[in-house]
Amino acid sequence: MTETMINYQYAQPSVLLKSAAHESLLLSNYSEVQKGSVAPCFFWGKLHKPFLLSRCLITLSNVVQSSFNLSPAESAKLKDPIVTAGNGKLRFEGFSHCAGVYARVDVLPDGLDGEFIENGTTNVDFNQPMISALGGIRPEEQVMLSVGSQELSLHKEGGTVLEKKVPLPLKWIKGLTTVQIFLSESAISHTFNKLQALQLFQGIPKGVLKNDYYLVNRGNRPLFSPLKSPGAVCIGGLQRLRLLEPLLPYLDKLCVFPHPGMQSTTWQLYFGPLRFSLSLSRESWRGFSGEGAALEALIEDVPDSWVDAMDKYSYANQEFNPSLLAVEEDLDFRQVENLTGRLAAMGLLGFDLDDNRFFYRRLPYRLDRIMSLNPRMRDAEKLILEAKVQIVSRHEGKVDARVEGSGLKHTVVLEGEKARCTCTWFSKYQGDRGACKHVLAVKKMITNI
Amino acid sequence: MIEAYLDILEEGRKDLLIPFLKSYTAKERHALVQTIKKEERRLDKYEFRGNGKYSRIATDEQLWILSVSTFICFGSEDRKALQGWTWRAYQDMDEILEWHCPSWFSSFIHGLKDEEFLPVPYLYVLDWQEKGYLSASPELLAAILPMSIYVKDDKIAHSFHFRPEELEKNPTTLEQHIWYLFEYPSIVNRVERFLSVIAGEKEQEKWMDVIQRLTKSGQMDRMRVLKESLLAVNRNFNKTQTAWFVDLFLLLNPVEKELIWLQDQLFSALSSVQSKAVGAVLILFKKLYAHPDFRRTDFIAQLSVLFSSEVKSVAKTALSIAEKIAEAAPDRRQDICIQAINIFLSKDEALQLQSAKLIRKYGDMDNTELKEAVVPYTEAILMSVRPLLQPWLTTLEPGQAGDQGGPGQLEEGDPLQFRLISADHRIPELKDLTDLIFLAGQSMDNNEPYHFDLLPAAILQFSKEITGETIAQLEPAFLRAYKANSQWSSGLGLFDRLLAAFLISYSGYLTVQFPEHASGLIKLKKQYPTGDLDLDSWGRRIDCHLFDPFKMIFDSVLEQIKKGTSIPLLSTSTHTPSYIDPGILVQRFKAYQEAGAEPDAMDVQLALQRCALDDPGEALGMAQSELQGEYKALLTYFLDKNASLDGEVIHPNWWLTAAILRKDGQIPQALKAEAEQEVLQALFKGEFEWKASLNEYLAYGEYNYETGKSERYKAWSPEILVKYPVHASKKRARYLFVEYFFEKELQEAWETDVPRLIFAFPNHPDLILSSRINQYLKISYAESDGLRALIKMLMSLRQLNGELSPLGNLIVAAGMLHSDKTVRGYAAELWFERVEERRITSAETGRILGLLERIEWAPLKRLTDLMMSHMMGLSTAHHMALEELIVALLSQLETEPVKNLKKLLEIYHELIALNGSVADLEKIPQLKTWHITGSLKKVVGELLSKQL
Repeated sequence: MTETMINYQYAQPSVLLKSAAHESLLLSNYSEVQKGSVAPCFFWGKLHKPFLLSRCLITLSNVVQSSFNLSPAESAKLKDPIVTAGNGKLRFEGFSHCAGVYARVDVLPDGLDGEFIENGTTNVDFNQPMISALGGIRPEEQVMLSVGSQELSLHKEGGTVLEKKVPLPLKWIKGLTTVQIFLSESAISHTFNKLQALQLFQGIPKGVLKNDYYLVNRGNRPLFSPLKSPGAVCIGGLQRLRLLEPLLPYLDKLCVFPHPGMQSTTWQLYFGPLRFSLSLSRESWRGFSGEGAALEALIEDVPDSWVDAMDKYSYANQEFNPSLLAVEEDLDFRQVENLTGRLAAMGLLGFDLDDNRFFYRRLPYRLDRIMSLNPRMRDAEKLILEAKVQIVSRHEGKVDARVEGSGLKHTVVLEGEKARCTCTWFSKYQGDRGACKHVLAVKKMITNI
Repeated sequence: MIEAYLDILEEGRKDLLIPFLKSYTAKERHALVQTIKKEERRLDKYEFRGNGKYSRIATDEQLWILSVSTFICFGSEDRKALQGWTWRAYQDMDEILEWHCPSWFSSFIHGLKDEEFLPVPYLYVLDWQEKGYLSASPELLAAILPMSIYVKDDKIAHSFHFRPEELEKNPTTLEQHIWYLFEYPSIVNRVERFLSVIAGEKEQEKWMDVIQRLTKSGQMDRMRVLKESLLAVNRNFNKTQTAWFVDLFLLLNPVEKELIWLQDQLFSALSSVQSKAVGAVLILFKKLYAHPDFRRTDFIAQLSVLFSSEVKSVAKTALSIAEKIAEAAPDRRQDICIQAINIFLSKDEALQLQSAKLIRKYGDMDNTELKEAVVPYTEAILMSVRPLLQPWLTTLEPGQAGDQGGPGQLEEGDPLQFRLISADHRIPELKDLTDLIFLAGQSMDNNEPYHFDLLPAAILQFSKEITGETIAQLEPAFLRAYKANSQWSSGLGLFDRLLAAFLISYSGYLTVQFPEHASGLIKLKKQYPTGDLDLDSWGRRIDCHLFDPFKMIFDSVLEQIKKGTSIPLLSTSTHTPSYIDPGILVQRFKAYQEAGAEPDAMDVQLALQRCALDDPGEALGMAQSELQGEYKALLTYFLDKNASLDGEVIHPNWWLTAAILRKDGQIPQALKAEAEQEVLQALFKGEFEWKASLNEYLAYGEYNYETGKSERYKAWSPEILVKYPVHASKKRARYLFVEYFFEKELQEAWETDVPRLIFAFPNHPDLILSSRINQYLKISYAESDGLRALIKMLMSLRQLNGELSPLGNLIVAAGMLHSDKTVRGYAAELWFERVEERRITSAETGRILGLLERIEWAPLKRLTDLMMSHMMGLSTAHHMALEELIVALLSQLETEPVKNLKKLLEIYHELIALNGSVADLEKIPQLKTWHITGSLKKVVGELLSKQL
């Protein structure tokens, strides 16, 4: 199968420039949806915690270089993270190759002193020389950061345009949408200080772990246990947490946010005005990209006019307020009620665990690309189109339906929040990995009736 | 055209092929694709030539023709099909590429770079690049360059000449390409390992020496090599490749001036994920720290990470450098002391002592910041180290010490009231047919072990409500049943297949009963015509009797359905994992009593096996007031421990099972005649002897290319053998449920079946564990299935709410010594929970561990590491229990010390200090002998200074 390619065109490679007075970290940016041919400059200013930010970015680069289900040759490739600048904040996001580990570095307003020239989301070039140079930033150093180049002259100085033609990171794009939904459903369960965090991570068994581990409290001591017990946080592929180890000696605190259905865990590290969060998928061989969390949110269509309105009224990192959108665009309040999930599934929103709110962030990829990434939803739509869905009864909140499968009919029953199907997928996962196409088809059909 | 091609191929005329293909257009050539594929299938295979020899049908010429014509005629890149010509015809590509260079040529060659050994040599790629056929990426060049200095011998197959001068053939190689080795993954570190190099002047040289020589000669810039080698350690290469660059850097022996100049890269290498790089840099810093230009501030900033390292040597070396800096620079002492506290995360006594001495020497006793930094670590600091830090620890406010990371307190007292069944563990009952339909779909997924029992019970319960419409809704479940029994699937066990067989038999019944609605079922049956999938065929397909009693219960369900009755099964679990509420059991017996029907014998026995017996009072009253005859007598005898067998024994097997489950070793008079057989005697006894041993065997070592054989060496396999009798030829006419487990020596179940087997005996798991342990506790053969089965055994034991059985205790103890870390973790956690719930006698676990370690059944280090990581610092109760365990363990050991005994004694010493107790010389008289043993003298001396 021919892979879809994407051609990142950076004005120059990202670089850490040294001068007598200070160092400058210039992150080159590119987005396939940017307007005009010149990538805009999003931020230019001073970093308050350059040593810690450099460590966070190195860890982010380790995440994007890592892979927990692919061959080593694949994992050595470095992919470019995306950055969202605006509302006084910078957020760097990236995924592991296998799309099972999501990492985000948030630089909060106190961590920056500079100018947000534009707001938006973009890919930034991450290259090995720059990452290696980041390792040399010292605690007391003065560092300026530029996301995109402020001066055109710099492009010229930088020499040739850097082109990276790589397979389109479909898994990333889909994972970026799905993980936000998991995050929005997660809630804090544990807070650890530095000592507790270090002790906890010391207990991660060596090597690749095939079975699940559980975060439990033993006396006052948190521990990773292979035994499931009530209230324990389930973590698959525990060894992935080792990615955080280099950051532990610097943290102020570590908070754990498990998904209520234990489909993911997020480990958020706090360093003053910086935060590093790492989200792990349910198991190391399962990427966020394959999870069906976003599917339910896509059952109802979002009119194009709403997406345009979002672009008009929102700017990057701004807290998303669906009511405001309804007022501004004169939309029915009931219609926008579940809008956040849908917009997140379309790559238009990110989720901030500390604020417990969605924020506006439009992925730097074409919307049609993003929407084409949900085959289960496409299959569900096909079932409806081919008239293979039959609603047998519908009363008192209970829907009984039959959906044609291959050679036989599946029974789908919806009762309140609960949905059941007789197909193999549902029987196996019991809804843990998102709804099956049969349930989606029935839900979509009754929504549109 | 095809005929002409086949002639060329048949005669192996290489010389004719290219002119022949050239004479056609691309479209015409493409018409040959099918012929090429067909001929390749025919010729590219091996044939038996007699005398045990095989050889390929095709000649070398024919293979060449096939490969080249594949390259020329196939219209697109088909990696698998094209692979052949890269081996056989790359030398002849010039002639081809000048008139046929497909658009995918470059991408195909690049795709090869992920191969372990690239079939196309470096110089050919350079040549093709020069001629414009491809544009080689740095990744590709890095991947193919390592092989370039090894040139194939023309005569001796698979042999190579070492020719480093090849690197000088093209100036770009040393100017540019060789540097890609430092940036991209390659086999530069291991290319020599699998090559047979012909003896010559420099055959001992390897890539590393080549680079060293090129550096000496000035052909490679020395500073750049040093710099790039350091940068390579952070390029996400694997462990061995990273280590190779570290070795290269050290081989070049950089001098002080160079190291000072390279500090940026050296500090950056401290962030490498590979500890070898970190360790190497620290050793260099050890020589460098006194240099005026050494960046001390940067080094101190790294200390918190270095001191937190899990690699002891990293923390140790960093600490010794920090000590030297503290000595020389008083203004840095405060910073260093604060960082040194991180060391206390390590449980290594020597390291903690070294750090404490540094703090004691350089730390300011009145410094508040230092005090505040030490306090949170109090509980992590070993008792022997604490006196050194007293000035900072004594100023603690009462109660402050245990606030962070300290052990919690467990109240002393009686065992917690632990009920076998509770409302939290109630298995949800099925409400209606819809529930049955969805249960049927998932019952073979093993989502819950009890689904196996629940489904037949539910089908029986709702059998009269099944209609034609329901049959259609059950079709997906029937389809899954057919699939389960005709395809292999890793997640399915024999229990799942038995359940599938039951469903297939049930679908047969429905086909007869509802012919007008059975078209779907008939269609399904036709799709799987092999037969032998239903319940009647079960015995024909499997030579194992473990599942026979379960099958008999399924048979009885089908029989009831056919008869039109639906009296509930007795044995369906009511509470997880598999217990039955005794009150409900009485009601189920009553249903049979009222219907005047006789329950299935296996169903009765399984029900008794699963009945929760810890609080039977109410159920006993119910049985006595509501049941009659044999039911009443049986349940009275079963539920009341003090009752004696009283009443007519109509069904001796019911009574035998009840008597065995009382676990008092007594055989009632009325049953003695039935219980003469050896197996039954053993079952009544209920205890199984075991023996641990180390069995010698010849293990396989490295493969020797000269002899063509693997080397063999002596090794010892730790095994545990539980003794249990089997029926062999002396079979009884009618078996008890449990007797099927003792039918013969080896009856294999699959790992997924283990929980359900154990859950057939929640009150007496040793009845099933006895025949499983010998298979699953073989540590040296710990392959994945056996390992998973062992983990499942531990998980299932954990779910059983009763006391840990003797064999359960053996599994936990042996688990703590297992070679697999997950198994050890499980065993330690099980111990933790049971200590917390006071449902384990740690002395018994310790006694078993002692018996095992007496023969050094497994390295004691596994246990001491486990104690440090999982069993200490948890609570006072756990510290007490661990001390109890260690005393029992030590008391079983011989006076000749076993390996790593010192560490165990150190832990014992730490526990004594924590628990405020003293060494138990009465139970461990061996301490006296150990006291005069060199390496143990110190720790035993300390122990004996605090004795009873």
